[in-house]
Amino acid sequence: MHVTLHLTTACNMSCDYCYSSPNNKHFMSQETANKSIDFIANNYPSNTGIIFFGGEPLLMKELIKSTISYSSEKSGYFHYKVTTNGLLLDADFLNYANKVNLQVSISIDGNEHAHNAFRRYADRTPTFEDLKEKVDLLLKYQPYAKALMTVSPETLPYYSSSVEYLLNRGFKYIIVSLNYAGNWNDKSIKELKKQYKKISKIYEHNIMKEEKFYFSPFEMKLASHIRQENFECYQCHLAMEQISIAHDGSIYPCVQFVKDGMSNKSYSIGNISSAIDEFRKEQLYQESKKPSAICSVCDYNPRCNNKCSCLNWQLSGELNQISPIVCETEKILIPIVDKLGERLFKIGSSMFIQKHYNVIYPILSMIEDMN
Amino acid sequence: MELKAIKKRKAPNYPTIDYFIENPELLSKRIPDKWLKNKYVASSLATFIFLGNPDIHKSKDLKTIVIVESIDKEKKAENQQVKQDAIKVAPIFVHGKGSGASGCIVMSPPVFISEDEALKIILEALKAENISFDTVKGPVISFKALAIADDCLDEKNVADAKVKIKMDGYNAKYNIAFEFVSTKDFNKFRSDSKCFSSVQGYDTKKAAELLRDELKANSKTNAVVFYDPISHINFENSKNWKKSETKAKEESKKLLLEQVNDFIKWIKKEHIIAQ
Repeated sequence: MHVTLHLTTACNMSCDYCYSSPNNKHFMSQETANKSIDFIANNYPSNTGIIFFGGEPLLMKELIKSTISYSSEKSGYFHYKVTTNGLLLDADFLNYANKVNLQVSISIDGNEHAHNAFRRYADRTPTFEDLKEKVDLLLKYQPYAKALMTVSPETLPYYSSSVEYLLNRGFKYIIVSLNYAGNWNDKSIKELKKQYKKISKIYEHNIMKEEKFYFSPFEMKLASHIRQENFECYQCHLAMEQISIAHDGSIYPCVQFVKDGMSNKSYSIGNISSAIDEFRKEQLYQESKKPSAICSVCDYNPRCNNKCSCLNWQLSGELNQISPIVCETEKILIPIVDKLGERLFKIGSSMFIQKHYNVIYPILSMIEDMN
Repeated sequence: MELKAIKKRKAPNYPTIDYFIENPELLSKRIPDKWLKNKYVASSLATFIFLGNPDIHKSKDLKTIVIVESIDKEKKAENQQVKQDAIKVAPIFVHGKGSGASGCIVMSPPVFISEDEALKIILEALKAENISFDTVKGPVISFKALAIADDCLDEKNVADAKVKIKMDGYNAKYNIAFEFVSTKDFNKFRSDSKCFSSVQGYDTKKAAELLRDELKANSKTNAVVFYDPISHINFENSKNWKKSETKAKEESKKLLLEQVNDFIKWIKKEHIIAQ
């Protein structure tokens, strides 16, 4: 289970593509944070990931520390993650993070051109220069930190060079979200195809060198074929395997539904002070699983990102309705990844085979990371 | 841009994971050089190869293969060992693979049966046949065996394990003792040498076989060795961890009971007790 605590809607940046523009600044209180931990300990005590999220969660460093401290007094096994824009990282906090095994993931859109296109301060000053030293610091303390990259139609021409840039900076794990709400057109679709092809060469090169490289769009699509029916485990199960808790203790089925924590209450599925509204939760889940007529006759359906309910909801207003842009980008990605998989299997790449066919690869990978 | 279904797409020309589950040897032939140079990864990998791909448990043919292996070993042991006509030691009744690994983020973590849980199952099943056991006066057996399931690759770290086991139950009327090899007992079959591994491997069936071989050679009582079947939590197919854990434990208990039921048939067939 993963539980995301939305510590604040405030942010020290003002990115143009942010789905949660911090007009109203709300902050989670210590009392709500503690009650959230009580709720988690009572309902999900075993192997639960607690994710600190914002806005910018490092505006609330002390709350993070006191909440982790409080959770450590509870029975159960919890692990911690924080998703940050990185600007407030410092050695003290990273020292602390390593002590309590808090994994820090940083939002960085790639090279300077890609990053500065959208990721700016409120006064429109770009943030890349300030972030550079923070990246070095983070990778010094957590060499296997994840880079969270958002790619917009405007930054597509820098996609592959940004992936290369992040690899050269030392990131091994790159998680990508396409900004589907951006201005996509036929030209950007062509560009995306071109960029995926370039990245598949980078991926192949690194895998053949037996270098560690996790690139989320490719890993998921390879798994969607290799793992077959078990791939369902990787897909969205709305509110079943993750929930989000807003600053006021309201519970939502996923991060995106929280918005500013106030204006989207119709999607709230309960409150930490009472309980989860199981009826509402089930209602949303069933709605998200309703088969869509067009998807059900598509060969890509089992492998498609059309199961991401919050993405569907954001783009089409329906939990189960894929948007044309997601459909289009999936149709580009799957064949390119399949060609990559075919090449690597034909070559007999040991790393490819272990990574995708050895069920204990995650353990071996973690041991490798630790040593 | 519009929604459009893809139809009759050619299947990708690289295999699914089933191919490697059916051919596990292919996986051990493709080890990245980088891993072999990293002693921590290499030793963990060795444990994995020793224990097998957890998904192999899905193989329907596994039980048959394991039983055939057990019979073969039993025949070899019989030819090599001094015959003790008066004393009968039961073969290992194979129900459950008896191996698993814990630690880190294990994909299919094992579930173990405690000594108390096992004794309850064994004693109740035998009591139904009017055989009661004294759990205090079990015979003690001490012997040396080559340590098993050592996590290190380095052969110099593998040494003899000095095993001392007080058997879990004894029945004076039929001069018969039993032992249940738990994961705690399994640790007695490890060497004392220190080696690091984040993955802790267990093979209670192997330990039971070693103990059974020793009993066959030197036991003064009729004897049987049961072992923890070690079922695995099927994480990937489950949304509910606790439920899966309970299910795996129930599976283990069922397998242990099958071992005991086979033993009851065996002691009747061997006329140790009346049929």
